[in-house]
Amino acid sequence: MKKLPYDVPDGYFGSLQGRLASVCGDRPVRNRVLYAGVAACLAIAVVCGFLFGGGNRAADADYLYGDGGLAVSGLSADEVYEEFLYSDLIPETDPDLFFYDESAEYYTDGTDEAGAGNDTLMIDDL
Amino acid sequence: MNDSEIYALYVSGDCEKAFNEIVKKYSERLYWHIRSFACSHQDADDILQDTFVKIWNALPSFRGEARLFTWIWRIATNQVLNHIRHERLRNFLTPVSEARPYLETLEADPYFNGDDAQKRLLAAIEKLPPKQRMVFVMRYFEELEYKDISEIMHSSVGSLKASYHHAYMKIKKEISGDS
Repeated sequence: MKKLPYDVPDGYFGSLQGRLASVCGDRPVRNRVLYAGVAACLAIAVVCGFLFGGGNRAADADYLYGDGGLAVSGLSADEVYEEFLYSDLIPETDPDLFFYDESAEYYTDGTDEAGAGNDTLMIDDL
Repeated sequence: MNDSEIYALYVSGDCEKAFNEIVKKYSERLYWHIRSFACSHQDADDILQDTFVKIWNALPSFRGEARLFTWIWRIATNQVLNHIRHERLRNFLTPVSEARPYLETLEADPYFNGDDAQKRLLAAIEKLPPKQRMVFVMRYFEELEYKDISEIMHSSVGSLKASYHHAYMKIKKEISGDS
């Protein structure tokens, strides 16, 4: 082995063996304590999850599917479902189409019935 | 005491005595293996202690399939690679104004006793990628056989020879570029 260009402090290798030999007394005990701590934390987390997690899920389900959510929003059940239905049906690309009724007749406000005058649309008999 | 006697001691149940024999036989050589990669004596001492802690904790999983020597060197090598990764991350996160070039670190090291050529050699080695650096140090400074290095690094002898050659060429270029 080639010698590296470094020195070591005086008596380093003499004391090294004593220091390293003490390693075998410490570490496994520390590991056992660490593992026991982690296991205890996990057990507590599982028990807490079982006790409190189930209750929260029941409340969430009641809010979503029961009457709890409707009561909070201040709307009747029919109003809520109607709002949900319409908001879902309005096309994103051309939202005005939602208000256009094919059965209604549209006239321009002008002299010409073909629509060459005023741009304002008048809706008759809606 | 040779490796098989140490292992036999461990199998017989005298774990502490087996570990103390490992410390007695390998601590000094392992220190110099680690010192090639550490920036200071203090770093080398810390890595060495961590290595022996790992050896002690991993001894129950040692089945004697590999040689004790290569198994120990592999643990130390992994510790060193982790250390190099942490060092690079720390240097990356250090502001440029506070970053210290390796040559300055070497000059400030009270335990460095080399001349200018050795300083430039170590600086060139420090610039190599970690695994190439590992191969070069084990082959050049520690004079290990390729077969041993291949057991330690789990690489083929051919790829190790190629790595060593690349490392050698890079160092040569770096040193000749400096002068």
